[in-house]
Amino acid sequence: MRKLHCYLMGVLLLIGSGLLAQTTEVTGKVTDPTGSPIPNVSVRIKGVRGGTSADANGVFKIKVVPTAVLIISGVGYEATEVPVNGRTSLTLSLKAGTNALSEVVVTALGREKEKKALGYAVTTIKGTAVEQRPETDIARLLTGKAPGVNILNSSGISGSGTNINIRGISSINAGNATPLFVVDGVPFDAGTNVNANFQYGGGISTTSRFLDLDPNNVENINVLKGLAAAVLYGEAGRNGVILVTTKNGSGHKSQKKLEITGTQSISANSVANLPDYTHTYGGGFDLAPSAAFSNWGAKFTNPPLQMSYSPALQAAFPQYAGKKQDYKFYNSVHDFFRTGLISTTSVNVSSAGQNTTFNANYSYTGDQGFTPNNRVYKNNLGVGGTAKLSNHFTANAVLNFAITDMQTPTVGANGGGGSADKASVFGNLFFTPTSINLMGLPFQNPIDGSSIYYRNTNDIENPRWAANNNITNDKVYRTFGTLGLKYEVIKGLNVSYRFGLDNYSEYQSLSVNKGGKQGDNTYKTGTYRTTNIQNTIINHTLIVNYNTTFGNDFTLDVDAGGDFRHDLYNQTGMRSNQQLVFGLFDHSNFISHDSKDEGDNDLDYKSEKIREGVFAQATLGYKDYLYLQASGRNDWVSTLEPTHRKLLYPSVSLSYIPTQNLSFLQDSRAVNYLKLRVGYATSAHFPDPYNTRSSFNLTANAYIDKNGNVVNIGGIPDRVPNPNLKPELLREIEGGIESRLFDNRITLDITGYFRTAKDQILDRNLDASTGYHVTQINAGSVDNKGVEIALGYTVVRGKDWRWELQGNFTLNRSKVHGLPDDIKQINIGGYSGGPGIFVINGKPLGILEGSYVQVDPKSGKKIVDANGYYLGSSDIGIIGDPNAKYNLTGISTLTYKWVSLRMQWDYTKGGQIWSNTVRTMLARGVTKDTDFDRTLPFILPNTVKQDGTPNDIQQSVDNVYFNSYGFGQASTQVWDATVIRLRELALNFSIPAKILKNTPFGSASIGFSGTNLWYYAPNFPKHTRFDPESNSLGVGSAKGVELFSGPSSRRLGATLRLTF
Amino acid sequence: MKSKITIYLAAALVFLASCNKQLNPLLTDPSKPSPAAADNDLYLNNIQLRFREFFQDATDLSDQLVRQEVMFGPTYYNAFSPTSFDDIWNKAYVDIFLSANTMVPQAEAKTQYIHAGIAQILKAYTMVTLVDLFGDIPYSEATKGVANTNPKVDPGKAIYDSALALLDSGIANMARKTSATPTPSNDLFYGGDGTAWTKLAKTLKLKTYMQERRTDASVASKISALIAEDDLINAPKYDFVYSYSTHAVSPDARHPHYGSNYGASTGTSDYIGTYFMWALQKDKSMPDPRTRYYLYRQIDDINNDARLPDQTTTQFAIPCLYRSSPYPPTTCYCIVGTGYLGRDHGNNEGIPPDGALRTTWGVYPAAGEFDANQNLPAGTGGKQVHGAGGNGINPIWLSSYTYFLKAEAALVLGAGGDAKDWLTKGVNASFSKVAGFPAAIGYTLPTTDTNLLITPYKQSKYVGIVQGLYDGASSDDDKLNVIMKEYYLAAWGDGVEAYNNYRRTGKPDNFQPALGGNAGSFIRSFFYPSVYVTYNKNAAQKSTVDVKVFWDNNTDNLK
Repeated sequence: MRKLHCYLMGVLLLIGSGLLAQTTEVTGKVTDPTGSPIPNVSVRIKGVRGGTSADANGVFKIKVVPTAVLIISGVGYEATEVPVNGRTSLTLSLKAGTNALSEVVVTALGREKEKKALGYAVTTIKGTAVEQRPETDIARLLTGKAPGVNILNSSGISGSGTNINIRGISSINAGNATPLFVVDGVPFDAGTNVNANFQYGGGISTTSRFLDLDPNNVENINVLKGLAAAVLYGEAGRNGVILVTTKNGSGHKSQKKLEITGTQSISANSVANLPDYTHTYGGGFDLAPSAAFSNWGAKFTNPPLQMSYSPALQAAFPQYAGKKQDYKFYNSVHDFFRTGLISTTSVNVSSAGQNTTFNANYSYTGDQGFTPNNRVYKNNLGVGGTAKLSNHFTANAVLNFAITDMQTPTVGANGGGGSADKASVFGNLFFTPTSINLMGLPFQNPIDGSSIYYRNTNDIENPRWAANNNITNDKVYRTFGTLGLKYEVIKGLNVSYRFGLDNYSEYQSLSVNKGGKQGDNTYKTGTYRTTNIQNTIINHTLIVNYNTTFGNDFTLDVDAGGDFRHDLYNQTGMRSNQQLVFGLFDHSNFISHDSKDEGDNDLDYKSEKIREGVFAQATLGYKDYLYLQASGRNDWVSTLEPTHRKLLYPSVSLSYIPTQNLSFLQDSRAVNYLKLRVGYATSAHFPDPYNTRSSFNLTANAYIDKNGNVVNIGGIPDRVPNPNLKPELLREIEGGIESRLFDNRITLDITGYFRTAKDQILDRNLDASTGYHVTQINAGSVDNKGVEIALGYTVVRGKDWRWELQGNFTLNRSKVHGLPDDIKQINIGGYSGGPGIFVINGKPLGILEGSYVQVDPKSGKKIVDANGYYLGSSDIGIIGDPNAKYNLTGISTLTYKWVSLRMQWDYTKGGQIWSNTVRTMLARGVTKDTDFDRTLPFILPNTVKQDGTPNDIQQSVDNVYFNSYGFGQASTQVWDATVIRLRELALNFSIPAKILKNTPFGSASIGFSGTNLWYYAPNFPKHTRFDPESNSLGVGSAKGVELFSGPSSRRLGATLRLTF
Repeated sequence: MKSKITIYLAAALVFLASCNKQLNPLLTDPSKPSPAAADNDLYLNNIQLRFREFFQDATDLSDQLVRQEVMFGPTYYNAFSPTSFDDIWNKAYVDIFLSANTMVPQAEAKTQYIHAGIAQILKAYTMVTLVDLFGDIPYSEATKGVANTNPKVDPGKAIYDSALALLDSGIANMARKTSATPTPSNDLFYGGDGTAWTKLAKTLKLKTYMQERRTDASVASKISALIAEDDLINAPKYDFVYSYSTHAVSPDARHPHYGSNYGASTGTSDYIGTYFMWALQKDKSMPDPRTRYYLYRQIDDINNDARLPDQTTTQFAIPCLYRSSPYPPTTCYCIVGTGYLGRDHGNNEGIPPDGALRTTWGVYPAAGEFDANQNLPAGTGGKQVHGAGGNGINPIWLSSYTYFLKAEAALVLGAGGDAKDWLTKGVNASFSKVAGFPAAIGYTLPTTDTNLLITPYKQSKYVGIVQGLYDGASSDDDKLNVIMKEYYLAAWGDGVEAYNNYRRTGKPDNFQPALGGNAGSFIRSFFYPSVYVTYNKNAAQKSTVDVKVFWDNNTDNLK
């Protein structure tokens, strides 16, 4: 700090030398350090009222006495005092702001504001924190980087959906808690268009649309967490807002006239976690070797036992007929996976003229998953530019084009019961008995293409067959961009208009060859499902901005305007069954055709929504240390009946900077900057379309009778329409402290908030005896309260060495209350009969319920039945809370000259998960967790019989694991998801400029980085090595149920970046 | 400057005002028809299709308890989770009750009396069966939508009475039919024949009264009256059956037991109860001639077959063969004969790879294969048998059932006619139904060998044995056992009646007990469905499964 000060003084002295002592009008031009003019900076005379501001070209004129001192200040630049010293013409260069007082952030509707004036929390993440990473999903790259933001993967499958939510989840309704994405000022659809429910892999095999963003094209990301920050976005911003500014949209000026940056990364994508399989026992049951799905067979011997090949294998491949195979350990599951290659190539061109900027960007990513046939290809192309015209107009335009193409073997929610009920590549993999030679034997019948595996009839599908013949594809062509015009009416009054378009076509398909063994008959005979989605968001925004100063001490900044948003979704689809020619996927190659998906949902539908809003926001500043901001918005939304569709919601916030005000703090070395803020804000939530009016339910071709007649049926929809539905109101109070302490070595930001969302719009489940299944109502409240802390500490700040530590802490508690008495509970995910996720009065949002073991009230011990197995419940009860207690992230950045080492650790405490993967591995005895002596009989420990006496019923150990520990009551299959993880490790070399001096390169760097390098989840059975960061319920408000979602991914790679 | 600003503001306001008008059309879902599209034929077919699903669910649950199919258990308590009943509950209330309640007044207003009557009769059957399965259930407070979100239960007896009243309304509507009355466009049961529907309604009244006969003495006279009137299902042409077709997908309109056993390359998936096969094959001095129609053996001789190459595989595929029977010698175990392989009651072992070995559903009623010693697995593909293609039936009420009920009524209540005569008629009706079935569905039997087919000689020999057993029975109770055994054997494909009969009479009295001997109390009514207990505040789940329905005052120790 002191150094900086000296430097500044030096500059000022230079400027001040050689001046004449005359009274005159001074003409000045303000530029940034590159020489480009800075428009609209404020020019004041120290100690005198009034002032002026520069025009669009940075030029100003002001009458002063020769001894006057000018105070030049502009948003984003350090305020500078310049003594006139009698000069008439000045050229001033302002330094980009580096201290807390001049920090500028992008806020709602893309308005750049001084951070000190904000009464709410905004977290900025620089593009450098997300680019050049071996991860293509921008949301996953944000993990841990902003307190209050929670990110949960659905799977390690490349391109699988990602959950993001900010400050907990405010809405009970299982819909989307994903924050609003705004790219270059324009709303960007971040939904996940699931066309099969979670059981059919919809949650995992469908990409989330923010995958269409290119992390390498990000200039910066601003996360608006609270309602106060997002109120101008209206209801769309109620889950928080992620503002992405792309390099194309930033209007950022390059250092040179033309700058080209090329980046190339290569990474390896491998499985992060595989169970430790037993090397002692093989497949079978009751210590006898056999073709069972379980691993409770014989002990391995030397020489090994000899087993027959399966009859189907012998029939299809005569070389195996009559031969035997060794009954020994095969490392099947490990060998099933591969190491995928991720390659990203990115080129960025930027150029700047006197009044224009131009940026173009192209990048290509190929991401091969660790699972065979899983991959993502991304092509991103974008251009953008700004032009300042002489007639007070400023224009900017951005156009981005993305092709995202994801493919994976289907990952359905599989029950783990052997003959798989729902098709999944992982459904039969993880419990492969250790004596099965999965990789050494053929998996496909050469004649008819069908699956061949180790047993016949009541088969399971060979996972290798599944990986090759059971494919989901999701391909998107997307265009999004903006056109903006700004007109300066008079100095300080601007009118701007922005048109935004986000348009994509998404093509999804499921291709299953005939000859499989899992799923129902429609799968086994071959299935081909295709859907075409057309999604369009059109947005018009008109804003009037006025800022002025009055009196000596007051500043006023007003934004007012309106916006119009039109959402159109249109989907057509078809599902065909009974494949004729193996391997060919075309609807004409199938015998029968249907317009419904596997879960009997329509594949054809459309939806349209219009939202109109007017808004205003005013910030009143007093003497640079007190800011009062008030805003309000009124929305009209087409999804509600006219009497309910309008809602006005206001907010107000206050920011106070004592370090600017209190004299004893102004020169404090301990407290360099301190800001206190408090805000109250409201927002709204409007329902999805078509919930207020009744319709008729028609099913064509429901049945073909014995005479061949087509039977069509009709009935009353099982959803009761609700014409009285009204919008949901969210209220939030937040307060916070932002500070820089001890010579700016420590930064500490603390935010606390309390949010309540009442009159929840929720899908209320009905007992079928009412005649219906569901209705949408306004009822109940969800409270979320929490703390977000960001603590930074610059440990070393030397000439060559720099070591920074950053800690982010997130804590959120939710509570549901006020549900009417007639509602028992509401199911928001999973199975309604358990395990599933429910909402209950007085509990956190999203409680895990399922069947449980009955407990003897006297002894408190679990009860066993007459066979010595756990006695289950005849209903469901609470068996866990999937909500984490808190999240902690630690980031260390160590820099030595041109080398930097960055490391990110994440710790999640608490949260429980029902894991099908783990329970199945225990039930089937495949891991080292069950490596004990299996010959001894077993009595379930700490249990009593139904009469209360101690349990003395002996059972074989495999029966107990199978019936009680594994496939028993859901309550015995819930584990604490506490996990610590080395999320990122990156080593970066920036070649020093002096070395590059005589080369064409402006800058060059090479980096090595890895993600998810190590983790430890201490509360899971040790050898299952399960990664709790997965969620089979896809993207939504429910989490805590895992159904063979697959392992997580570890990525290691290198990136070379060159600038010309 | 001021004027400029005014222009901007005015433009903005005009822009917003014009937008607001376009919101209203967006309230209606463009993908769904409006309620005006409702049509009584569409409602009727909805009720009928859901009704057959309801029946299928009911029979698949109850036939496990009477050993027609396997109950895995191992205890009665954990044999069925509450989620097993969600489907049947949903179909009954959401599809059948609500549609019927909506459609009946509309149909009556349009003089569509047959539509209305059918809906009433099917609804009545559904009500009675729900009570039979669950006991007291919501009825008078049910199907009121959001007006009552937590319907309370009514006593089973009250629901029975409502169902009987509804049957009378159905009968009355059928009688209102004139030549101007529109017939349903596609009545999937009786082709719009009001006479047949009337007979069904009266037969269902008889069934309902018979169910109550032990707890309500007043029903005896009503039973006698119905039998005396004899406007009942007393001939095969009035049999109340649901007929499937061979259409395999989109939609799959085949018999569900065909689809699950013949429709897949992975082999069969159902297990037939060992006791049922034993009762057909070994219980009498001759094997039941219906067996080869009822059941298809995939393997003729378990002990000598190339498909079981070595001892290890066999032991794994059929583990019970390598264990000694836990039962007394008179009780069946594991395998009947050399090829009737099913599963013992309450056996919850892991599923072995026996999909190509199990005995499965035959040509009657699932339209599978006739057992002509083909010795081939069932399923799709090359060397497998495919049977008739799935155009089977649900035998919901057959004329034989009427005769057996009459026999019971004559024996126990003296309701009219001679019990042995009704019994004989019942057996003969069942034999005719089964023997004539392949031709009725257009299936050519794979053999003409009279040793395998039902012949008049074998039929009369079998009838003679039954009559001998009846005559030889020392008490009315034993005579009832003979009647109920024949009812049980005739009711293949209808677990609903067999389960009701067993709870009402305790017959047949020689069921195979559950394997392991620790099955606990027999299921006298099922747990309430999960969807009901989870979402209805007034629902209280049962803690045991031995809660009897109102008409069941039978002994506690059914097995």
